[in-house]
Amino acid sequence: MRIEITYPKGKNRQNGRGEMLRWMRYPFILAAMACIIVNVATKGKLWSVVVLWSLFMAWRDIFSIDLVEFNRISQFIKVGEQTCILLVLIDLLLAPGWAQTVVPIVCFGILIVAGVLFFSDMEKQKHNMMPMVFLSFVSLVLSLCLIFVWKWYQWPVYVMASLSFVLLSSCIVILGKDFSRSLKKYFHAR
Amino acid sequence: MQKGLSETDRSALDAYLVNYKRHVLLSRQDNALLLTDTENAIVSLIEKGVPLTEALSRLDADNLGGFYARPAIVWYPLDDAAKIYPLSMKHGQMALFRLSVCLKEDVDPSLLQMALTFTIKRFPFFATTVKKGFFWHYLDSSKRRFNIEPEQCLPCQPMTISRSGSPSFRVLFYKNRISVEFFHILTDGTGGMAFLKTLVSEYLRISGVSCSYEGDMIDPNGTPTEDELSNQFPKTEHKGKASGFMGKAALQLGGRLSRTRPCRVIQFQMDAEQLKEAAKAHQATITSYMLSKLFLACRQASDETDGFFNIQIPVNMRKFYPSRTMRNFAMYCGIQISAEKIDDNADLIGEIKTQMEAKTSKEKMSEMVRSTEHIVSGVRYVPLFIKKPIAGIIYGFLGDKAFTTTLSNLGVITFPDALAGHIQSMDFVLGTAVVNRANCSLVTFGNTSTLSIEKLTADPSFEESLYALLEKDGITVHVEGSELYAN
Repeated sequence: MRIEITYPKGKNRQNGRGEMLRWMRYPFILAAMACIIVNVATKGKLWSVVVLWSLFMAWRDIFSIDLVEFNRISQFIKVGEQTCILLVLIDLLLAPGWAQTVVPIVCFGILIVAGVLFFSDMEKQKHNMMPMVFLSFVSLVLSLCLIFVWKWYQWPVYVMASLSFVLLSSCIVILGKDFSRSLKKYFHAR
Repeated sequence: MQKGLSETDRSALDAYLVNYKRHVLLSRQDNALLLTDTENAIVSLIEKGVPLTEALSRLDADNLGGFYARPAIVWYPLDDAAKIYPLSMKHGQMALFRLSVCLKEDVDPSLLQMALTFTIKRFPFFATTVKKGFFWHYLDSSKRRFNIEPEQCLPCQPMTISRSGSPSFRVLFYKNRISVEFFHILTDGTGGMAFLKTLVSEYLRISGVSCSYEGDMIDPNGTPTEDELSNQFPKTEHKGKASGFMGKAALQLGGRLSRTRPCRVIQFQMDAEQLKEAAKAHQATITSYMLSKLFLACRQASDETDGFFNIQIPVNMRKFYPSRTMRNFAMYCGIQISAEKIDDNADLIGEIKTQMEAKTSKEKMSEMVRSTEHIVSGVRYVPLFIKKPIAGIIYGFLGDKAFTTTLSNLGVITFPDALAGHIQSMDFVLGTAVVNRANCSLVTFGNTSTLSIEKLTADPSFEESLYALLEKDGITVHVEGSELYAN
């Protein structure tokens, strides 16, 4: 059977990231298992949960990056949310007593940067704004709960509440119909 | 560009640019790129001896319609069949397919770029980008310049769809071949073919071929209909049971899986009349006949004998529920034969025909549609961040292990005579699966049937057996393809 070559010669795209993931998962699994075993063997605080979460963060943010919606707002918010969870875990499992101040600061920091990224290129970024809107909404609800339910009267919580409210309301006012359309798209269940 | 033009030509060009600017209100960067495309196309036509006024008439800015002047506000939920594709894709693994047309002359990239610019507006569903919702992915419209690319790799290489506005299809050119590769989230073979035919007709129109939009040809300046954009699955019959997804693991072809995906593409170009005669001699359809040859080739290309071979057949639902939808509207079935029963006799074709009749019936396909709907509605309100890893795990277990290979037959493709005279052949290539070593697809244009085999192993037994079987039945096969990229 003689084959006439009718396709361009010499080049073929290698699945670079797929290959890297194939090889990298072994050290990651090994590291995860090792830290669980050492933690169980040495007993004491559950520090392995913090390590496992950090490994998960490294895996999702550096190696196995998003295949859909990989843009500056979504990535920044994703890393920010994961960092908040990491801080809460450290506070709960290793060194308690500071997360209630630090996490709201990190949270409003993320909102400020996300807001700057959004408003600096609004025409393009309005298609990518939903992770930011979602985070603003969650931050607002959370900070209201912290103030009115758990009675945490701390300045970072007030700043987080105000910032998320300002960000949400400015999105609604500036985008108008586009905002409601975006909500409809994001939460559709059809 | 205006240097050396006569007064008449200069005023024609000025009028053209004024009209052009009214039609394009994109970002500054996209505006500049579109203008450069237009200039390149005008220069190319002039170099071919076309008078400027004629070139401007062929590239009339009215062909842009309002598409590039309106903001991107439309969005589309995914159809039922498309919902699994973004959930199951991985790095280096996407459900893609390619449709190609080989012209009788080499492709002029500047004219093809303009043809794409004019064509995409008629297919707003394709001018989209995949986005994440809270419950499901969706397609968000994207207003930008969609560009063509020179073909440099083997077909169906994964595409980057994650950047802002990145499309889920690509248009490629190589020598005399125009190819369009689609992520299956957008459309199936029928919708993809409608796009390719429109693109080619527009390319030939700009090149100076007069064409009419008769039969199933789509006028690129027409308005998309509701039917073309609709999800047809909910419109199918909703009675009877739901079934059709589960299956045991099938035997696979021999040979080590290559890391380069695909490692080779092979195309059997056959005389359509001879193929038809061979099928008729066995009182079978072309699909049944080809299936019998594939089963025999599978048997010869595998060392395993304990189990069954299962060939996946996509079934176009439009034949049961007539529709002009451009979105996915196909289901599939598996034709299953145990390894020991596969030998070169009439029983094999008889068994295939019986299974084809039973499994591709309207009732069976409707049952499968209902299964899809049950799954989709069952997980409707599960957030995407939970659905995605679960779907990944399930798909990882099931994957394509239930099938040995696939045979997708798009049937006979026709063009109006004026256009058909400029077309040499067509081909249709399926993307690679996970463990299936070969995927087969068939399309017929004129008197040439092209069977494409996308390989995932360097082992040549499958295609060599198939070649020998077809030649034995008196079918002349001309084999084309790519180099082997094995590692």
